[in-house]
Order: sequence, then C-alpha cells, then structure tokens
Amino acid sequence: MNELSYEYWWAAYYGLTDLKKRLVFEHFGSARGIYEASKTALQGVEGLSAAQIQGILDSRCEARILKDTQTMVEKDIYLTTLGMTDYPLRLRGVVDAPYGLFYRGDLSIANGKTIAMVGARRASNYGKTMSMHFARSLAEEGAVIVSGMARGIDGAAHRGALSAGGKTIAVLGGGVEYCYPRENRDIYEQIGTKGLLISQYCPGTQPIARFFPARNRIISGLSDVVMVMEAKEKSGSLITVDFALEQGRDIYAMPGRITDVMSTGCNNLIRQGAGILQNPETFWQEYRESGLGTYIEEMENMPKLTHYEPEKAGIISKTEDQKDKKSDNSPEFSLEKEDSMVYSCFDFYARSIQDVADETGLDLLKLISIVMRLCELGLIRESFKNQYIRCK
Amino acid sequence: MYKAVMSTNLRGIDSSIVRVEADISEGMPMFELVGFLSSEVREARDRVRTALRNSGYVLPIKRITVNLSPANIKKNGSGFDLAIAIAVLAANGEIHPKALEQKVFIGELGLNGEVHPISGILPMVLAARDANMTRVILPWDNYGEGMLVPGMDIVPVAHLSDVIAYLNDGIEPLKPEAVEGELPGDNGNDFAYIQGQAFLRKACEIAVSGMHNFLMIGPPGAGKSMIAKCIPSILPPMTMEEQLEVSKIYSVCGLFGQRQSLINQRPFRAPHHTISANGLAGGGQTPHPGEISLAHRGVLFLDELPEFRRETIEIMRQPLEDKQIHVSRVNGDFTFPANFMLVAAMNPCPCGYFASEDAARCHCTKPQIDRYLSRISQPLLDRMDICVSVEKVRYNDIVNTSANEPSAEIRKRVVLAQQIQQTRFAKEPYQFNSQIPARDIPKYCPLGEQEQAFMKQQFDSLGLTARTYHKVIRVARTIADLEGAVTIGLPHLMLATTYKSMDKKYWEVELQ
Repeated sequence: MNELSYEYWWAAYYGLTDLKKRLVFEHFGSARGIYEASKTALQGVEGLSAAQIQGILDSRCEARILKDTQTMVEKDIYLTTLGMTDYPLRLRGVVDAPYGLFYRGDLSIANGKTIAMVGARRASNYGKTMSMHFARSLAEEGAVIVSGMARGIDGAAHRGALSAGGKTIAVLGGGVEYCYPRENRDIYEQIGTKGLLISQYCPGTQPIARFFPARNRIISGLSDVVMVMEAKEKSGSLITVDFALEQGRDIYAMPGRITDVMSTGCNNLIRQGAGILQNPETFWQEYRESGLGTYIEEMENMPKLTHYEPEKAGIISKTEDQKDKKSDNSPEFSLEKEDSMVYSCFDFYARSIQDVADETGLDLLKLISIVMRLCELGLIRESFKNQYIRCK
Repeated sequence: MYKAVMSTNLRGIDSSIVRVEADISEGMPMFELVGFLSSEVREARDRVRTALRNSGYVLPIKRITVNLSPANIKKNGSGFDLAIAIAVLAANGEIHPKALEQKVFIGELGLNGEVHPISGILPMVLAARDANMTRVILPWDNYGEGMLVPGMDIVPVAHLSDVIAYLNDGIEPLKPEAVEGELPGDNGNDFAYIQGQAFLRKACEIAVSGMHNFLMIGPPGAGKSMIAKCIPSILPPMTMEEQLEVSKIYSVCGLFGQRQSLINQRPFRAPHHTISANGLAGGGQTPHPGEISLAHRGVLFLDELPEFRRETIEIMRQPLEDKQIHVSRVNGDFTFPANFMLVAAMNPCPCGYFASEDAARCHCTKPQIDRYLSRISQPLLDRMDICVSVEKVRYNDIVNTSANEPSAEIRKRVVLAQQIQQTRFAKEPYQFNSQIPARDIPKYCPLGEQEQAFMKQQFDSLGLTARTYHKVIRVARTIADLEGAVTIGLPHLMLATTYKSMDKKYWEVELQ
C-alpha cells in the first residue's frame, strides 16, 4: 500500500469521532503507523474501547482500500489530512477537526481571508439580494467566501462571490462528486474549477440531512468570521454560530426589520453582541481594527500540534487568479423625476406593480414603461410574476 | 297497409330527418321495431301501445312492423314515440294520409297518452326546415324553443288525442302564453364592487376584448374567483349567428328550459375541479357536449387549476388551438364547437402564500411545490396569453368606498375594441386578435423600428420562445385597439410583456 492509501483509509474511517481519530493519529504519528499498529499497541491508546479497537482492525482490508483510493483518484478528487502540510491552517487549530478532507479545486484559498456566510434556505428576497451584494463586494476585496452550497443564502453567497470573479469555498454534506441540491448545478461546476469544493465525507457518500450539521462545523472552522445573513428564531444557521463561538470565531449578523420573522434570529444575535453588518466598508474597517487578518500568521508561527512532519501527496492543478475585477460598480446613474419616484418605491422586499401603482398614482401604461426602463438599467428586477425588487 | 311519417334524429349537436314507416299486415300478431335502434327507442313499442290504448285506440291483432329509415344511422332518444304512434294509426286507417304531408312529429309519450318534452328541439326544428317541411308537431313544453326558428309553423301538443284531433279535424291546439324570459343575467357581480386592483382589472378588460386566455396566480383570499365571476358582466353581446350556435348546444344538453328566446348571454361555465375528462371534453357512449362546448362563445373558468386531474386539463390543449373538439366513440365520430376563452386561477404553491406578502407563512418544500406545479404542463401554461399575479386585498381597499368603474363602462370599451377587430378581420376566418395565426402577424401587427428593437431585447433577456413572442404581440395588438391606436406602440408592448405568460422559471429563481 502507498502513503495515500493509508491516509485515505484513516480519513474515510468513520467508526470513531473526529476528536478520537485525531488523538489516535497523534499517538501513532501517521496513518501508516495506525494501520500497522498491533492490537496491543492500539490498546495502549487512552480512551479506546475494545469494540472500537475491533472496528479499526476490521476495517483493514487492503484490497478495498486500494480500490477506493483508485476510485477517488479517477474521480479527480484530492485528499488532504492532518498528516499533510496543505491541510487548512485554521481548521487544524480546531481541536475536533476532521482528520481528512476530500476536495476538488484550489485548496490554498482556504488559507486566504476566509469569511463564512450562512443563513436560511427559505430566505427572503432581501436576504438573498444582500447576501449576493456582500459576497460580491467582499470577494472583490479579496475575501474568500465560505458557505454550504444549500438553497437560499448559501447559494446567493456563492453566486455573489463568483460574479465578482472572486474565490469561494463550498463545504458539502456528502461526497464531493455529488451536487446537492441539484438546482445549484451551475455554481457547483464553477466552484469546482474556480474555487474549492470540500467535504469530510469520502467519495461515494450520498448527501443526507444528518451530515449537514457536522458540515457547519467545518464552515465555521475554515473561516475567520461567520456572517449570519438571515435566520429565523430557531434556525439551523444558529448551529453554525454555536460551533463558531466554540472555535473562537467572530460572529456578524445582518439586521432585518423587527417585524420580519425571517430576521428574528439575526436580530437576536445582534442583541447578544454579534457584530452588525451594515455595509461591506464598515465591516472591512472593523475587520482590520480587530486584527483578524493576522490570524494566519499567528497560526504559522505557532508550534505544530503534531510531531509528525506532514508530506505532500497529489499535485493540484491551480487555476489562474482572476484579476479582472469589475472596476465600476458604484450606483452612478441619473434618473428623470418620475423614474426616480417610481424607483424609490421599490425596496429589497418584493413589491407588486399594483402596490406601486397605488402609491404613485401613475397611469398604468406610463408606470409599466418606467418599470421596464428601470429593469433595463438593471436597477430593479422581476423577482416573481409582476413583483419587482431593487438590485442597487 | 303501409304509411310513413317524418321525425328527426339527433346526432351530436346536429339533427337529421328520419322516416318512420309503419306496416300492418296479416300474420302472426306482433309489434316489431327495426332500424338500428338504441334501447330507449326500442322501448317506444311498449309506450306507444299503452298510450294508444289509453287514448281509446286498440291496435289490430295483426303483424305490425315499424321501420326507422335510413337504417344505417343509429337512432337515439325518446323523441320518436309520437311519430311511431301516428304512423301506426295512419297505417291502420285512423288518420287521413293527406294530413301527414309536410309535417314532422317529435315527442315522447307517457302511458296515459300525454306528450312529454325532450331535449334538442332547436336543431331538430332546424333540420325540419332544411328538409323543406313546414309544420312541426312537438311537445307543449318545447313550444318556446321550437318558435325560435323563423318561418316554421309550430304546433304544440299536450296529449296524443290533441294530435289526432288536429290531424283529422283541423282543430288547432291552444298555444302556450308567452312566458317572460329570464332577465339578461345580472347576477349581482359587477366590477363596481371590486376595490382597487387596477392592474388586474386592466388585464380582464384586455383578455375579454381580444378573447385571450387568462391566468390569475395569487394567495387565497385575493379575490381571484370574485374577479372571474365579474367577467360575464363585461362580455360583449352575441351576434344572431352566435346565439343560434350556443342555443343549439344548450338545446341538445336539455339546458334550454322554458325560455322563449335564444340564449343571448355569453355562457360562463365554472366546472368543479373533480370533473372528469369526459365531462370536460364531451363523451359518453353516444357523445354529448362537455363543458368546453357549453362554454362555446363564452368563458370557461377553471378555479384551482392544479387541483384538476392532469389528464383532464391536458385534453384542452387541442381544442384551445382548433376551437372545436372531435370525440370518437363506438357510436361514431362527433365534432363539437369549443371556441371559448379560458380563465383559470391558481395558488402559487399548495398553501398559497409562496412569494406573496405573507411569504413567511409558506412552509411548502421545494418537492411539494414541484409536485403541485407539475400538475399543469408547460404547453398549457404557454397557451395562456395573459398572466397576472393577484395580490392580497389591503385594508385600505376594503374600507375605501370610492366609486369604481362599473362593468357597463368597461363593456363599452370592450365592444369598441371588438368592432375594430371585426372590421380588421372581415375577410379572415377568425374574429379576434388572440386567433391571428403567426403568418398573419406581420400583416396585422406591424412593428416600428423602435418597437422591434424593444422586442428583440425582450426576446433575449426574457428568453421568449416563438410562441410566447407571438402571444405578446397579439396582446399588444388588443391593448392598442383598446386605446384606439392604429399601430402598436412601445407602451402597448411593455404592458403586454408584463402580462406575458407564466413559466416555471419564476419558482426556480425564488427557490434557489
């Protein structure tokens, strides 16, 4: 067996918790060491029950491991483990970090200025628009947006980052080769080539709901900052917040209207002391002041947690940096009086034509002409049949 | 002795003349009926025998044979009883043969000799007229319906003895007094009672003017059904020809009632969503018209569209294009007219709050919504020319009692717009903007340079198909007609684009 197969075996062994796996690894120093350890040697590790030891012994099936490793390579999926140098630094600092991470794309971006964006799957238009907006401007400033590629906020965050030609990381709840949900196929393909798709689950694992909370731990573990864009009072996104607090990450939340149930969770977080997201500029200011950006350097200077010198396996084809930043994105436009009156009626919440017609009292044909013109200018867009929402 | 009288047979919504022949000859005493009869016609034997006896005539103890000719057409219905009775009496020498000339006998007999009404009188009398008959003897209760055909002498009879008295002694039976026809249906629904909703009102007006199919999407309680019920109040009046077409269908279905005028109100049919495919399209062993034919020249309203069984609503695809439906059954092929305007209403998701103001109330999952929407096919959605999302009614609109435009005013504009269309399409086989075939669009809906540029941009940005592109232009034509504009302008195209048909993309974007 080669080194990669040993690493694969221990990374894809799910009979122990991540914390135990890490302890066993640190005890033996390498995946190969664990594989070759005798039963008595394993009994020497603190906290392993007889059943767990038996489980490890039973999983040592050389033919299957070799075959699975081969399949992974054929699927163009790479592996990094705590035993390798390229393991994301921030995650390495998390005490119960998963031993192995399967990925596709450019792993080095995980050590960039990572910012996690999480939020409801059934998000409002406001949540999605603002997530896209934040993701876009943060990505333009070089931030790497980390999210879970779910519906709603996650998808919007990835889309925002991609539209700015920025970097983004999708942490998946199943094997890297599965795109879930299917309607995010477009971003899945793009992230695979321009960003990073990553998962703690070995290839061939179907995405199922109970894997998703564990994924949230990686999302927060990979990031300096966790931004909660939209969350109901009891939301799955708040699990990520709990993980983030455990891992010592900064929490930011985007405020919403107090009457809006979709934002209750966010508003609660702000009351409890989370940072408030008003616009990307003030966020960057706070980010620099708090010295969050220096985290990586500190990590690199820290004594290594393991005595094992990680080795490099597999070559990654790095994609070229996208440097074609959109230069002009400021809302510099001038509108005629009536146009701007109509424009001011629209909001980041969808509004119907009927509403705006009632508010402005304009003739229907006239109003429609203005609405179409605003659409053409990209100031508003049709979010649902006859409902419009502000884009800028 | 042999004698023959005339009657009529109903086939689909048309009728044809049938010769009822009777022969009484020596032989084994029996009463035989032949001529490709359905069971209700075969049962006439017992009704006729008993009715004759109870009217004072005893059948001779001889061999009686009755034939309904032509023998290769299936005879249906109970309307032959009277003709059979008269033919037998004539063959027995009880009625003078001279008295039977130029007359058609229609009616069902009761055992006591009373003549009962039947359905389908209108097409039957029309058939009699076409066969150059001058008199029709028909049931008393069907007099009003028979009177609608001008130039025919209608003799209403209540009892078999009336018929014999009329034929032998020339005693004209009394005619029923004119019954006050039902008032033109003011069912209390008027656009004056709809508060606000200018966008939706406009859509209704456009839809009716050009007979465009119309779909409303909105949360429960937004007033979709109420709006639909107001649509008949702005429908334009029907021409004589249209009235006759519609009346024939209602006559065949036995829905004519006691009225003494043609149906002059455009029909508004709102079948419940449990309706079967046959109920909607027409069917049965001997096919009868379905709801889409009953809505001919009028409106078919399908409330809660996705609740209909998919195979039920999908059958409308072909009639929506052809304006008629062919029904083939064991008893032959039938063609029913089905030139109707489809009005449908639906919720955006099973709970109804998706993408509405109360979107937070919506807990439908994506698979649930997919399942809900999959009950309507894209081809059917494509056939909807105008699609509007309806908003929840606001408090201000409920308490606001300011005057709204009443239906009568809207109707005036609709009539004007339809007149423009009539002049425009005088030489064409179609009548309305919604029916302009794609090849004639450049001829009747020319676009200026600016308009073409706009449509090109819309075509690319909205991902229109050729079909939806043409629909937008047709709707724009109607909007221009309503405005009295000769050419289609940019505002007309813009409004038409906002009303363009729904596609499932909206839900997908929202669910991402």
